[in-house]
Amino acid sequence: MKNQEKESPLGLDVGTSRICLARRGDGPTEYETQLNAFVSVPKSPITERVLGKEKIPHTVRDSDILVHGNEAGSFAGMLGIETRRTMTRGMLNPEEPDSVAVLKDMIQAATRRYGEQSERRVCFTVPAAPLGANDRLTYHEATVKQILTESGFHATPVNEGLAAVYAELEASNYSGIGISCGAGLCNVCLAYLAVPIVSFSVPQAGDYIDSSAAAVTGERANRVRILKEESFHFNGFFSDQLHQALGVYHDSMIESLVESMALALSGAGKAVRSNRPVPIVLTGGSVMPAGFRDRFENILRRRAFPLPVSEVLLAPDPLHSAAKGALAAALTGS
Amino acid sequence: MNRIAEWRACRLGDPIERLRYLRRAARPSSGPKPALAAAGCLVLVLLPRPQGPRVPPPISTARTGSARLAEAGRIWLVETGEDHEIYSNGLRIETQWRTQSSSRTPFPVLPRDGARGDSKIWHAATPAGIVFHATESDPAPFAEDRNSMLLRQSEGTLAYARSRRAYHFVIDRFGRAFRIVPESQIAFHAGESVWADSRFLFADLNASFLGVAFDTRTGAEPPLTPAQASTGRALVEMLRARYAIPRSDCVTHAQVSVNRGNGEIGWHTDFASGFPFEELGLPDNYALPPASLYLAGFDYDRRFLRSAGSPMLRGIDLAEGMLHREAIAVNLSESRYRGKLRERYQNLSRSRP
Repeated sequence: MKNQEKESPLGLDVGTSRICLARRGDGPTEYETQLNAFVSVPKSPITERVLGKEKIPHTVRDSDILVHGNEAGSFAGMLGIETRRTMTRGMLNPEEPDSVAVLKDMIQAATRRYGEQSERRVCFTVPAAPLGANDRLTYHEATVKQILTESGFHATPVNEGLAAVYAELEASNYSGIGISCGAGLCNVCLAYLAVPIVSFSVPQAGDYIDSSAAAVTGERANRVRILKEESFHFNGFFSDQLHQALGVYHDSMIESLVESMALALSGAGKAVRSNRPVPIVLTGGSVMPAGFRDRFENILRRRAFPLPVSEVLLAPDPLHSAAKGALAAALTGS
Repeated sequence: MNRIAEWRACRLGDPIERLRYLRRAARPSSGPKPALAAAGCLVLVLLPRPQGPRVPPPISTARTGSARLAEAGRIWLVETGEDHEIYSNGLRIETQWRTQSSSRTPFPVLPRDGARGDSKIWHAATPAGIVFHATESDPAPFAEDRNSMLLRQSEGTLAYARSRRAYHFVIDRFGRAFRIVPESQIAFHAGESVWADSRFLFADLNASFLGVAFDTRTGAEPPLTPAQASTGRALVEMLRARYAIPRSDCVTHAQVSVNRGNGEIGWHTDFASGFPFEELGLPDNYALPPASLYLAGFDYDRRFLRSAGSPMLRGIDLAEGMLHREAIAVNLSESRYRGKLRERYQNLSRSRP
């Protein structure tokens, strides 16, 4: 690793379903992604040895071993159990006693190679407060910041919707609406010339789709997620109930997102009134089904929207946009 | 932060440098509170200034906003199917021949005020106009007993257009509109080309204009089938609404095509005459002076005049007059003034990404 590379700032997307680290290497930006989930397996010397030998990230506890990251999904499939989540709805999962410990291990595993440089700058994503709710983000933000600070970084939060703007709206001088539809939340940020003007989140996102579709079909949410990622797309005809349910709940998510945007942006009154049409960019794992952009635009154009919209763009690499934007924030922060 | 800060930011070509500048400029210590300052900026409409930035603003969304909004509100996407889109003005676009091309990145433009004015290059990112093309195919007679041949020819044209990413849209003789390249991407339809709107001079219209091709041949009589004209009208209406394109920026390939090699206009001559602007809800844009002549210093020859015929002569005559007056105003001979315009155009052309 070259010195310059060692010193360059990092972008970290701490998402409900994935943790993604972005850094600038010699060529294009590089990304390392881990599933932000874990499973608990009974502790045994053999299991511990196999996990160590295979370099599978894990945490050993008194009576069990917590396997986290990408392998957690495979273990969950093998054992027929649901993965556990360190985060829910964009923040630390209050119902998961091991959330902080596992998240710490995961973040440290992702950043260990880069943390030896004292005070290296890292920007990490944080969600915006849900529309109409009080600020419940302080604990989550402070916890992630502490984990990174303890690892030797100079850590700064960046709003996830703003990260989408930084990542994808360079062509409009960082003006427009960035939307990051992840697993836990849809984060929205209206920015003008890189300055955030309105930010908020909407709790209907990927997990909402999975759990709702699972509830009406009797499938496990994890299996619904896998099927969704493998085969769901808009504008097709599906004869099976699961795909129909996925279509219904995707529509419901988009409707709710557009409704909230209309509400939040008109609620902001004169501050966001402009004759200049703004672009909207869609990022995040939940915008990946084929046809999502068109469906979103369709629903958006059907209702009176308080801002003129020039175009609806789909990020070229939606899964990495938040990390890319966090990296841009780290590279340009003081 | 104000318009000046935006200006300065736009001088920075590197996106990270630009973002760094904008974030610094937005700090509370540098003026009013960022959110308020930015909100204040939102009501500003970006206008070109006499002394513009060196490397400029993505003005992608900075077109005439109110007009754009007013028109965009009237036409909307109603339905997207597996292989089609339907718009509220009745336009149906078939999408089964769609392909991917390069994204439209910000493209360079020059303020249109001639050699006297600002030579600083700006950047824009949204489509500024429409170029109409004839596919110049050799069409079978448009008759009921030729259906299978007509359909086969249509498929051949579409396959060719798709393989070359040649246009954004093709309208076949039955009036079916096909999307070939998405509007957010570049289609290779215009080659070396020049046009100017009320604010900017554009070179390389592949990047800045949308290409709409009619499956026909220049000189065909009638030039378009009634179905083509009807669909063309709906398509133009939708694109104009979506991108706030003025009527005067909907022109034919022959009006914009240039040959850098010999410095003359009319390298391509499709629809040099006979394009039914009126049937598409547009004024007779043949009467417009070609920007290539009076803003980019190109010339023309007899061959072109022959192929263009009388429709474009009015525009050419107008352009000659404008060039003549401007040369007198700057105290230069016409040939020297033309040379200065060419130099300006070449700078613009060289700055293409």
